[in-house]
Amino acid sequence: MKLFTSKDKLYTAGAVLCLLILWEVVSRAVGASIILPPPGETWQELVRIITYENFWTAVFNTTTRSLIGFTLTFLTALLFAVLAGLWKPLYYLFSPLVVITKAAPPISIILLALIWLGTEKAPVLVGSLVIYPIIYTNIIAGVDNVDHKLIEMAAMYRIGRLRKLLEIYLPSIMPYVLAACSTALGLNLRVVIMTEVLSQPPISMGTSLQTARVFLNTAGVFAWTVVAIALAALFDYSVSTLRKRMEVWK
Amino acid sequence: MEIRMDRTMQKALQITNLAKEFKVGKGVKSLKVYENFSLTVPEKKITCIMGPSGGGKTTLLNLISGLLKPDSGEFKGFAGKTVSYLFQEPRLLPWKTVWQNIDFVSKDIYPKKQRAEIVDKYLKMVDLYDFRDYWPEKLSGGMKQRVSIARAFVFPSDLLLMDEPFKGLDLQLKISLMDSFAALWQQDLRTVIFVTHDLDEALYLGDEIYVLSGLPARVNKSLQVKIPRGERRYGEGKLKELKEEWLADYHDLIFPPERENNG
Ligand SMILES: Nc1ncnc2c1ncn2[C@@H]1O[C@H](COP(=O)(O)OP(=O)(O)OP(=O)(O)O)[C@@H](O)[C@H]1O
Ligand SMILES: [Mg+2]
Repeated sequence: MKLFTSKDKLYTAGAVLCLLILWEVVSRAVGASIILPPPGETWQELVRIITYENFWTAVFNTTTRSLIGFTLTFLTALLFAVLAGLWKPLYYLFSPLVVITKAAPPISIILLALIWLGTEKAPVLVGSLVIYPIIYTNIIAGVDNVDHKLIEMAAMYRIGRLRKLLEIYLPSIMPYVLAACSTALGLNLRVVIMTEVLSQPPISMGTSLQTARVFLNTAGVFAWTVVAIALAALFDYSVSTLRKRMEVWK
Repeated sequence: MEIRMDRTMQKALQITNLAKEFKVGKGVKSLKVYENFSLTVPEKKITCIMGPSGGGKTTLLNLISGLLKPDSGEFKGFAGKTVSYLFQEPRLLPWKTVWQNIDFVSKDIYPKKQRAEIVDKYLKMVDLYDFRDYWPEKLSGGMKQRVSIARAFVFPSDLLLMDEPFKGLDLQLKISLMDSFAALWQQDLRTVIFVTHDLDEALYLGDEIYVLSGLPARVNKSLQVKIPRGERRYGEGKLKELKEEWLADYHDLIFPPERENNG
């Protein structure tokens, strides 16, 4: 199944071009680059920050935070969701926790994380708490939707527990897992950067954004935003490649 | 040897006083599919179950296989038997190829090398060897059905339950599959319960034919086919005579004579 044809790509390129033109026009109308810098200035700023010595360190630190948090959360959520899916009492035990983490305002979580963990680890915890319920509920939905007719079939042919888990449950929940990953990876990155803005760890994308703001360098804020978008797009691309690879049978 | 054969042939599985009802809808009385139902299934024979759609045939197989629990009743001789169940739907794993789907049930049973040979053999039997690397999603309904037939045969079981296995297949393929099935069956003489709507199929393969009717279901009619399998021709000769005899009776059953006179 091919989702995007070359025609689609052409339209997308056209849309991006339109947006750039609109951006240029509006920023000229505003006439103050401290409020809305034009694309050209943002581009120059982007080139400047990329050549800046701490750029890659900042990107690396933020990416690491983001990926470590994501991986730990993903594994925990997978484990808990599969256990809860297979054993109801655990499901009931976890459900208030999920409701709480879902409903708590992110800023409360940020403040608590800062109190508990300090500037470097707080973003990891905040990101984790925000994406945990998403991954967990998605996987639970996956476990619930496993075709019981296939499970009956496997039972009839005396397939062992482990093989049932690996060859039926896992492939059935895979689409749900991957859908959760693609949402959670990007969201996690955004939340990590947001928390970095507030917690100010030494060198990071969030800290750089905050610094640019403090110096009224709006073009800098735009440039760092472009970097964050590019990073999110890279994450998204990796997940969708993985997805295509895993769902060849569709 | 002869004597032993005789003794095993007399053995039978026995279902007695079976009862099963379903809750079927809102504000509707629960549906009694079985009540005081008894059935004898001779071991190492092919028993055919016929009957109307919605007449409880699949339910019976589900009860025998243990997928459904009866409300009451006794199953004698079934305990500890391994079962292959050819479901009414193919139930293939969409993320495994045709070959892997069949291999799925043999993995824990045969050593690796023998496994490949066995899977290939059955794939050839259902005429799907060229499609072994296809995803099930890419097959037609009848092809999927054949994969599930091969899977059921690969699994060595004492009891083989088949729910309309040959539906949706063209006549030529159907006869060739039934012949392969009969040949295979001759080798290991499993106890087979074979649900079908097609009297020709039942006469061609069956030793014993039961016809269910009504709800709660009753055995309405039964027939033993004593013609040796080698002499049976599908839908022809002696089988045709049997069928006509049978249909004459059936006519009276479906259209009771008094009614006909009134109309
Ligand atoms: N799981 C179930 N829950 C409720 N009712 C059921 C269930 N399974 C079957 N029934 C009911 O039991 C009756 C018998 O169904 P069953 O599937 O055994 O029929 P069948 O003889 O296999 O029919 P067909 O030839 O169409 O496959 C039907 O009226 C059906 O509505
Ligand atoms: Mg049925």
